[in-house]
Amino acid sequence: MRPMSLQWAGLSRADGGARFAFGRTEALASVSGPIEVRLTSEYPSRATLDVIVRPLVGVPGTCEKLFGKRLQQVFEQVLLLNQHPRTLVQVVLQSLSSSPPPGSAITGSVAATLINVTSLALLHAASIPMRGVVCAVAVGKERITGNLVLDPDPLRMDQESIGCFGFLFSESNEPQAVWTDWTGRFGQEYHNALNLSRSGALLVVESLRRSLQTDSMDIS
Amino acid sequence: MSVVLPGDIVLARPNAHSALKLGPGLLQISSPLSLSSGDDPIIATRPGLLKNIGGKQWWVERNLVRYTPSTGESVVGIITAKHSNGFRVDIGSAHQASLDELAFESATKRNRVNLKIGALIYARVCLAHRDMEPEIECVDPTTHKSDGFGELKSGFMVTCSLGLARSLLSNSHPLLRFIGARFPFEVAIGTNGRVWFKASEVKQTACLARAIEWADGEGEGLSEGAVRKWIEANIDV
Repeated sequence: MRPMSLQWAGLSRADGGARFAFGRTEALASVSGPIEVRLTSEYPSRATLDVIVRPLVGVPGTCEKLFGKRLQQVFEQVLLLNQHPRTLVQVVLQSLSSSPPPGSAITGSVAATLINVTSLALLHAASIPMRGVVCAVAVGKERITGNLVLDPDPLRMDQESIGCFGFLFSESNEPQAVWTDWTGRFGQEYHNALNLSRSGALLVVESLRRSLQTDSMDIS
Repeated sequence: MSVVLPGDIVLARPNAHSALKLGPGLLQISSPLSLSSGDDPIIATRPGLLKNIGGKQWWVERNLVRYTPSTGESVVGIITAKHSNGFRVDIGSAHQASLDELAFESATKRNRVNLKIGALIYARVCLAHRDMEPEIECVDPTTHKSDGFGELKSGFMVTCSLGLARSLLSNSHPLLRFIGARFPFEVAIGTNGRVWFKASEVKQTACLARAIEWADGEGEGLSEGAVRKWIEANIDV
């Protein structure tokens, strides 16, 4: 796995923000909420979650919209949105590494980075209660040997990304897979990849916990 | 004191404790492992420091930016609209609060309060429920006295984190005490992260704004001696 870097970003106009990177795959997120919601997207019994994904250059296309929608659906289950009815929780994700060519789906370590940075920013804001922490990691394959590797580097030609798995971690339950992207073969390879990524995602949670413990400035 | 993440089990068997009180950041969730509903574990729902008083009152302490109203708290609000029998007030929460025109000292149907849009007020939250819009008042309902609440005329308002606003309200925070020894000023601290103050000179106002900004950033959690040192180095009024 490439070295991780997490940073609780001080975005002055947002309620919370964070930066996360696997090596040179980096993303920034901001969270605002609960804030006032437009009448058309208001729900009487829960908060509206809005996820906006921005690529490094240009405007969000279909792929970014689709990815945002999927993230929204996952985090709607993780956040306790019923605690703040008739409000809006807005998450804005900004990719900071060179994006895949326009029109190609967000997968692999870019997807994992975006999932992790969303969790981090929501933790930093802390204004919306959560059931647990979602952490993700990409799984790849070595082109020559066919061995599975954690967090394949998109810049390395000898590795290809074949999936991304996100898990919900909470002490009251076993880690549950809440995000699955898979282009490899099903069967044994899939199970191996799932187990490998679970151990990888656990490393992300642990480094997140360590960062919270040392960074006493953010918690007072 | 320990740091918790959302989902961490705080109390696995709450039934073993008597009369627990759960504060912000904690929730009892149903678990397939527990036998009865009283045995459901209590989990943290936000990251922060787990604190308790006597093992009975538990909460997760965390510095926030976004305000969620809670009954009885004092807030600094901005009037955003007038309507037939009251005002709409921005208190920094998701919904605007409503302020009745009779919720002022000696206000009657004849003797109306005239507040302009954009005016600052210091008020107490008298109704806070997640399904209803918050209501605030500038009068004590039992004595009908203003009790220090009402319009904040002239002066200056700055914003800070909710944690700093709360600690400024307690007497233990040395910042305002030390500055108050240098020059006199009026201050109204809202738990919604807004601090209003009025000093006689512009220079003093600037000093106060800078001190609060410092206390919210690098000066957070510093000792009394460090605060005194900073004031001596930076405030020359």
